[in-house]
Amino acid sequence: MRNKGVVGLGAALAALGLAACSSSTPEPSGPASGPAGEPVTIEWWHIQTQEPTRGVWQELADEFEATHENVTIEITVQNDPEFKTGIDARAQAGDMPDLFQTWGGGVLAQQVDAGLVQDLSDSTSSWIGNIAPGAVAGLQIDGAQYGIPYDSGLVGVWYNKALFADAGITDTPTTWDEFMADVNALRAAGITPMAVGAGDKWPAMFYWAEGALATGGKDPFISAAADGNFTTDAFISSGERINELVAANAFQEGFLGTAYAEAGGASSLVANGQAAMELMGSWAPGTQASVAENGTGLGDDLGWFPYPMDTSSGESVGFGGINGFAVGKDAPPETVEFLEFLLTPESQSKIGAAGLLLPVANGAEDSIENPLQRQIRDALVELDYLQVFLDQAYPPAVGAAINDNVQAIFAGTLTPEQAAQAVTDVAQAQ
Amino acid sequence: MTTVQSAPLPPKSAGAYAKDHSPRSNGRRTAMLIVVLLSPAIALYALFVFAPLVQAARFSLFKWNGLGPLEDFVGLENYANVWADPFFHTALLNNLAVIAVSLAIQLPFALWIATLLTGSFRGRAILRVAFFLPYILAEVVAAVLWSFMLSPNGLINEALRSVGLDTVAHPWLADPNTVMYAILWVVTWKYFGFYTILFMTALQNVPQEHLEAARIDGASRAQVFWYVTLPAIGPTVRISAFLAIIGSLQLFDLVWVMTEGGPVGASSTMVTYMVSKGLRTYQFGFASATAVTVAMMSFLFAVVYQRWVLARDNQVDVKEGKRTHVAH
Repeated sequence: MRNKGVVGLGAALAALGLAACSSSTPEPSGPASGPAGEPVTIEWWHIQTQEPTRGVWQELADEFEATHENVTIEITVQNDPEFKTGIDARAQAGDMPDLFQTWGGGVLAQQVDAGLVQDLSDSTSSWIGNIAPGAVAGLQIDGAQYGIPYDSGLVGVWYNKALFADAGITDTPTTWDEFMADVNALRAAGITPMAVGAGDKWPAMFYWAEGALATGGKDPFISAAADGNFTTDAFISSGERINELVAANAFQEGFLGTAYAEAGGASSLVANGQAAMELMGSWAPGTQASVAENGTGLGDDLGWFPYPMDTSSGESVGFGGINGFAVGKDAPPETVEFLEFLLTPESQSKIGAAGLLLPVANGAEDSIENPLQRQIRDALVELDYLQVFLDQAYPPAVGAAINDNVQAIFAGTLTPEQAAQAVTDVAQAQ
Repeated sequence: MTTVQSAPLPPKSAGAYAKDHSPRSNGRRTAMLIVVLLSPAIALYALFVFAPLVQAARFSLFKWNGLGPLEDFVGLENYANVWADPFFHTALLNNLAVIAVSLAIQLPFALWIATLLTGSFRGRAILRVAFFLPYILAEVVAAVLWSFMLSPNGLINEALRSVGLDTVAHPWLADPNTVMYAILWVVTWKYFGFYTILFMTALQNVPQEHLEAARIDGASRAQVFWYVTLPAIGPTVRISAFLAIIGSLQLFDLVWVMTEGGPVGASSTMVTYMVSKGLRTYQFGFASATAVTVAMMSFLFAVVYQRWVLARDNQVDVKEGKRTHVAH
């Protein structure tokens, strides 16, 4: 019968489908630990997609593998937003990579609360003393060490000395009024004063944070972490400073849609001499070099000065970030050994020589070739307080609200008060 | 794409089916056959479509940051927050704008191009490929291309400046007032080729006798088009409208790569809203509520549209309750 054959075929297909489904379930990936001598795999997720740092990490991994024959290190490199998406997926599965990028703050706190991160307080106590204390403190959650920093930097103003000379500016500004005067002088000379990647939102957030830090010191940030109130005077006046800059036509055309690091982004405008300044972190020279038309960037024409702070309070505060590595809960003990190896002065010197990151281990600072970056690092170790990037310091929802609402201040769609209130609403709903 | 046949259905008891089985066991056998053949498809559908939807609906009732267990039950609060958020309203309006442009501009334009391409002339094959090319391009690639072309110093602005139209040159993607127009332009460019191909096939199946009869009767070209061609390609038009609307509701890739829904949410769609307000902020309950909302909208629209608009194209017209020929 026709029907019988078809029924048989259908049953066979169904059986095949079920068999295929069951055989394709992935092998459960348990902790890859074992006594020394047994093969061990360390899964490492980092975000340094750019050379030469990428090559340095690979070189260090190879060195460690050579001295530890049973260890294999699998590296996954992703850029910042891809990494954040990827790590979220792993966190939800409860299966973190053995060694992964962290910036501390609210996101790390969430991961710690979910029981995904190894407490390193004991396993690193013998060697952590050699690392800059401010950076180490930044990766503690509730007094316990959950990450080890490998780089820390300050945000400041990177500027083009030649363009400043063209506009007749002889000294770098130390107060806000001098800064605005310089902006106006550059615009009058037909030069775009500043480039900002407001399309990516976080470069815009830098302006809001620096402005608040300059007028209010560290207190507004610390109290906002406790009560979620961002409507303090310091934040409002920072928003007004942004309005002042926009009104003075300080930024490049289409700044609301410009990215930071892509071709045609804010960094490339500075690197190619089309804009005079950018408020950016200590990785800026490396990023500029990677997007510059001449392949190296501004060279000797590049200068750095700190964002003008109101120094009347006597506080020495800065805004910047800490890059570190955290260890997954189920990671093998060799992972912490590898971490120790990465933080030796020799390894850190290689990182410093690569020119993108600033090493935090004592003894590695002489590897920093760029005198500007050395200048930054020396300033960093003198600070009383380092405010970490706002989209890392606070819970992710608050960080995203800050980024969104500061972009709105730049766009003029929200007043500084409205923006601060919007952020406060989100922060207090946490 | 198959065209709709206008052949009549076979008469009921011609002998092909009523061989030597009693009606009851024949029915049971048929039922078993149906179940067995459908089970793989149903299993896949349940696993990859139904289960995630149910799971999303479950997540949407909690306040959850994606890590750790589901503990914080908040009922429908996430849905209330979504509908109260002015950014969601902007996203919804943007989606409606995409639908409107698709129906009012993209489809008629595609139809016009299709009518031009049905005549035979030299180079027709090349033109067909050329019009279809944007559709073949991966969405991300197209978005990256256009974001370069629309940048302040990109191809479009440079072209405008080179012909002296300096004042028209504009940071299209950076200005909240113009960004949505840029997105609409790219969406139209990307997908009109697909509808052109659909319409071309449909136009080829318009019965020539009807066209000739109309012309012999003295109808003008416009009248021929309006009264003969358009009804003949009706099913294709209705399906195209359906696909256009569903696609517009789900628009994500193009917008995300070009602007991430910005600046300040001016070009956001409901799905980009979900990603930037829900996933990026680790508010998975909120994101799930948005996802379920979009899914429900699409589902509701699909059901209503199928019932009221596409029904006349079915072989069994449910409304009339009788077998019909396909409408001419």
